[in-house]
Parts: sequence; structure tokens; C-alpha cells
Amino acid sequence: MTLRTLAIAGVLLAACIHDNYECATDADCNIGTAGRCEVDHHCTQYDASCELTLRRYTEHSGTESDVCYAGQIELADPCAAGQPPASPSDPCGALVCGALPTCCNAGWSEPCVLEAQRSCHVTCDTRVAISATKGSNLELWDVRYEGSAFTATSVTDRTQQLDWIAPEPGSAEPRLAGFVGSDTLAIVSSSGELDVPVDPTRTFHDVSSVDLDRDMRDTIALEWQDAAGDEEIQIEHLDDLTSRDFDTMVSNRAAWGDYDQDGYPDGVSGTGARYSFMVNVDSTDGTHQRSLDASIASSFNGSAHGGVTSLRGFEWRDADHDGVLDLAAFGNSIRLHEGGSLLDDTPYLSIDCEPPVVLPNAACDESLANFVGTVVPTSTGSIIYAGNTQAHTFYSIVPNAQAGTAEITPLVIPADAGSAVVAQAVFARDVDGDHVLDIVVIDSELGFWVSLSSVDPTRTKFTAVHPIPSAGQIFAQVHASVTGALE
Amino acid sequence: MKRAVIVAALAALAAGGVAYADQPSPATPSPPSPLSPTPAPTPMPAPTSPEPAIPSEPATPAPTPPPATDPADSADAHIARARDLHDKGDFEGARAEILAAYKLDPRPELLFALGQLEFNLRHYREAIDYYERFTATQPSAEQAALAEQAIGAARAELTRPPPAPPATPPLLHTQWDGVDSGLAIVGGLAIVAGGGLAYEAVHLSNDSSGTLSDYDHRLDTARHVRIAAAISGGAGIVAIGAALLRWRLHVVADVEVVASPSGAAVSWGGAF
Repeated sequence: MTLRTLAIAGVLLAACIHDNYECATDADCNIGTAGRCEVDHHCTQYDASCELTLRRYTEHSGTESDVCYAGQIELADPCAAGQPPASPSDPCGALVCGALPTCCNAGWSEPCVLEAQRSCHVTCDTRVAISATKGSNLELWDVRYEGSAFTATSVTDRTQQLDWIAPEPGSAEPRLAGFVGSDTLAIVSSSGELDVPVDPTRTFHDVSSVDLDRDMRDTIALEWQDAAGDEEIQIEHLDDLTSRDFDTMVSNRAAWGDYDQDGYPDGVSGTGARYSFMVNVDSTDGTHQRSLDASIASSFNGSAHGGVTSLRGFEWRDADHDGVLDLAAFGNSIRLHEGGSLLDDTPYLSIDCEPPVVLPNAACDESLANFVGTVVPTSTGSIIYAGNTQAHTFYSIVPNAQAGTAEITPLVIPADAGSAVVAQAVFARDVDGDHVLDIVVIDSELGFWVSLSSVDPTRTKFTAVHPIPSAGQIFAQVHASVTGALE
Repeated sequence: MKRAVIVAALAALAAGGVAYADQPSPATPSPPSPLSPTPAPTPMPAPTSPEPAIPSEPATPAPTPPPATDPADSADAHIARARDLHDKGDFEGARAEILAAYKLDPRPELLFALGQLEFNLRHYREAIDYYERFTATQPSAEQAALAEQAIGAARAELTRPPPAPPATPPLLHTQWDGVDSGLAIVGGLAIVAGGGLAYEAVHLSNDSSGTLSDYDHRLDTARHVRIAAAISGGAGIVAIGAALLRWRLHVVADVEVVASPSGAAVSWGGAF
């Protein structure tokens, strides 16, 4: 061995210190403020100078040392909402985030999925978990569209509502969550079933995935109400089954989007006529844990006279095509809240009555109006497809930007859908794989009204299909949880 | 000088030859030529000392010179040719001509000339013999003194020690000594120690046990250990390099003692 070789070997050996600490728990990260062990086993700490996440990798984090924590992922399944924000290095993520920055900043929510289907040309199957109730009667269905037609499978081993949640981190397979009895939430994927014990004193409503803490851990939100009237959201980490609760005073139909563009996902949930923004905030106790502030509330009765006070759902969409998510609330009325700095408890567009009109309108009758609907983004704005659960009617509504006006057009309900049925759920997805969003309505008899863009580019003509055998009864509430997987 | 003496003697012979022919008296040889700046021969050290040649002529010259019938074969002619050959440095030829002249005309002065030629040929014994024979002819006191001086010079040459053989260029070569070995060993040990320290540094940095704070302290230690490893390894490399450099520059010469019958000499030795 020559001297030079010895010298090089010595230098290399001496230089080969791996400055890379791998943590196992948050307690391991005891340098700095609010240390946290990330899923990559590196520590982060609170750092207000890091835009969006407010976290920075500590030293000894390998190549990420002292780099602002991004908390983004390469999406294995862009067809499923409730995942961490996408990395802009992902081509599809970059495209989607060009239109909707929140998809890379706060979380991969449903509007991100729709934008991906439109602009990334990803082709997804469509999976709909249907929970239909009338009184104490409950029917659960797993309906899928995988290429040519809807197929439905009855789910009989669950006792409460079904919901699709995001794939397990690193997986591309959405999971179906449903309660078994009062004490277990069963989460099923192709790899098996995870039984999550839950508090039997709580009545759980909706289950959704959300990366609330931006820690990229497998996290779900369970909305619950107890006998004392408390309504809260339980944030559950599925990797270690730890949880914490936030008192939101609402507990139904949670939808996750972005209220304040601060890098953390925010939500909205409601009960009855009331709904509240669940603003994801940094805790004020110095721990820098994330918390939900539900102090900003709104009410379907704010500009109407009540009517059927039944919340139907929320949708975060960029309704005015400004790159910021807006909020659409469906229930007693249809209310559009403009995103960004104007997002508050006052909608800029309220539509009510049968036939629907833009409020305020003192001449219309609000008592027989209760709406389900979806917002379909277009190249210039959006179209709202809404049906009245109290009437055999269905409409397309085109808001006129933020002017507070809208063009409302009645659509023809398929004749073979049945003259007595009403719309109970509406969703938009690219069902037929042509990268144009299609409209699917589920009626009170669990019949489907489908407008495929490949059949009708105007999306004004609907065809009735019946993947679910008719039970011969009218359901009062139909909850549809929609997701998809790459085909 | 010596050559000038011979030439002068030969010139005198040539000049005196005529007179001698007119007055044949071997007992009164002509004195050396006054042209000679130094009448006494001054022997010079000779580079080599070959065995003296045996005079081709008998020690006793022929008693009766032959009659000079052929001018080209006369004693004077031989003496003249001897001068020419002498001038050209051909002492052997000159000696043969003088011997031939002596055979024809055994003049005592020729004995002195032969002595000078033998001296010039470094045949000192033969030269002494000729000088003594010349002295025996009862030359003048001055000539006798000259001959005695020549004899002394020849004898001095005989006793002169032979020249030392040419000095052999010292054989230079590099030498690995104990200091070099020490440096190399220390350097090697330092490198091994540096390697061990570097390994320890890597080992410390790979240990993620405990908290981040623990690791921070451990990595700080690892960095110090790494510095120590670098210093140790570097010092080792320097030590080995110094040993090699010292070895390359440590040139020594063989000390060679040359002995001869007449003395001894130390040719050269040393190191740097």
C-alpha cells in the first residue's frame, strides 16, 4: 500500500462521520422547541421562520439537517383525498398545485383529486361507500365503477356509517372504515383489517382522513357526540392508536380543505343548521401542538327562515377559479363562502327555496328546501349541481363569480328513476376515464342518475342506473363517501 | 629540463665528435653542452615504474671502433640521427643510434648520453650503470660531478615510492538506518492509531441510541475523535514520509583503504 493510498484511506475514514440521528419517539427529539420525530425518523423542531409547516429539521438529520420541514409526499394514489400535501417534484402534483397551491401546501383534499383527474390525466376507479338511513333502518353499500358499469356490494358486517379513508402511507389502496358495534372501528384494506378500539360512550358520525399535524402519519378524524351533548372531533393516529379530542360543538359531515392558507389543513363540520370552520392553529401553550379552533361558526338560518334544518354536506372547491379554495355548504340552503381573506361566516352566495332562488328573496318559500349538491370546477369558474331532498327537482347553478348572483337551470331527472324519488347525494368524479368530471346523483331509492361527459359533454342529461337492488323504500338520509384508486 | 640536458650532451657530442676525431682521447670527454641551462639532470617523477629494460648492449663497449668508411654509418651520423630522434621524443630510437655510434666510436661522452637516455626511459639502474662507466673514464672534475649528480638523481628515482594507484571513486549508496526504522515504526503506529480513532468516530456517529441530545454530545465527541484521528494519521504519514525522505537523502560512501608496500591511503569516506 502506497503512502498516497494510506493517506486517502485515512482521510476518507476520518471524514466518514454520519451526522444522522434516527429517532423513534417524539421524546427522543429533545433539542429545540416542540421536538417531533417524523416518519423518516428525523427530528424536527418548531421554527416560525419556516413558512407553512413552521417546523425545521434539527441538526443531525442527514442531508435534511436545518432544512425546513416540507411534509409532502409522492402520491401513490392521487385518486384519494385526505393525504398529506403532494410534493411539487411529482409531475402531477406540480400540475395540480399550479391550479390549487393548497394541494402542495396543506393537504391532498377532494378538490385536488378532481383537479388531478382533469389536468394530470390520471385514471381512477370510482368507489362509493353508501350509508342510507331511514329511521333505524340502515343499509350499507360498497359501490364501484371499474370501467364500464357500477357494481354494488352490500356491507352487512358494519353497524354504522361507512366511509372511505386515505390509503395507508406508502400504499395506493384506499381503506374502507366502518364501525362494528359501539366500540370498534374496523378499517379494511387489501392487506387486512385494522380494528381500532373506540369509546363506546360516544356516538360516532363521520370518519375521514386528514394529516392534521402535517406529520405524514396515518391519521383519521372521527366526529362524535355523547349523551351529554358534547360534539367533538377525535384525531386518531392509526400507527400507534393515540388520539386527542377537540371540542368543535359540531360533529357531522366534516370536510377538509384550507381556510387560511397557512400550510395546515382546516376543516368544516356542522350539526343541524349550524356549521363551524375548524381552523387548524398552533396551540398557545408553548407546545406548538396543532389544535382546532371552531370559534368561527355560521348557520344555514343566517339569511333564511329555517326550513328543513338538516345538514347535507360541505365541499371545498375553487368555485371562482382564483386558486384558493372556497366552501360550499349544502343543507337548509346552498351557501358559497369565498376563500382567502374573505372566508368568514357570511357567504357571498345563498340559494334557497323551491324553485331555488338567490337570497335574499322575501317571496320564496324556504320551508320545503333542503339541498344536496356538488360543485364542479370549470375552466372559468364552477357549476353547482344540486337537488332538493324535499322535491323531485334537480338544478345546475352557475355562480356569477363573487357578484352574489347565479344562473339557475332545472335539469331533467331521468324518467325511469321513479317519479317519487329525490336526490339524496351528489358527487363529481371522472367516472368514465375521459378526464372530464362526470356527475353522479344517488336518489332516495339508491338509484343512480349519471351524466357521463363521454355521453353528454354538456352534462345536462342524466341516465338512471340501478346498481343497488331497490329495497322498495325511500331513504331519508344517504351519505356517500367517495374515493378511488389508480386503474 | 632533462630533455634539454640530453640534447645539450648530444650537441656537444656532435661538436666534439669532430675534435675527438682529430684528438682521439677517450679519457677526456667533452663537457656537456654549454647550451644546457642546467647542467645537472633534474629527474622528474615518472607516472609508472616499469621494470627497467635490459640494455641491449653489453656493459663493456667494444674496445676498437670500426673504421668509418660509410659516412651514413659513421658515429657522427648516428649521433645526428640520435639527436633527431631525441627531439621527436623517440628515446628508444635515440638510444639505439647512440649505441650504434658507441660501437663505431666508443667515446666516454656517449656513455653519459646513454645514461641520460636510459634515465629518460626510466631505466634508472641502467642509467646509473652508464653514469658509473662514464665516471670510470676519468672525466673532468666538472663532468664527474655532473655524472655523480645524475647518479644521485637516478638513485633517488629508484627509491621513490611507486605512485599510489588512482583513487577509486567512492561508491555512493543510500542507507536505511535505525532512525529511519524508528520513524517508520512510529509513523505506522500513529496511522494505526489514527485508523482506530477514525473507526471509533464512525462508530460513535452511527450510534443513534438515546435522545437527540445524547447523540449531539456523542457526535461532538466523535468529531473530536475524528480530529485526533486525522492528526494521528497525518503525523504517521509525515513520520513515514520523513523516514523515506531521510533514507533517500542519507547517502554514504564506502571507506576504502588502499595499502601499498610503500604506504597506505584512505580514499574517501563520509556521509551527509
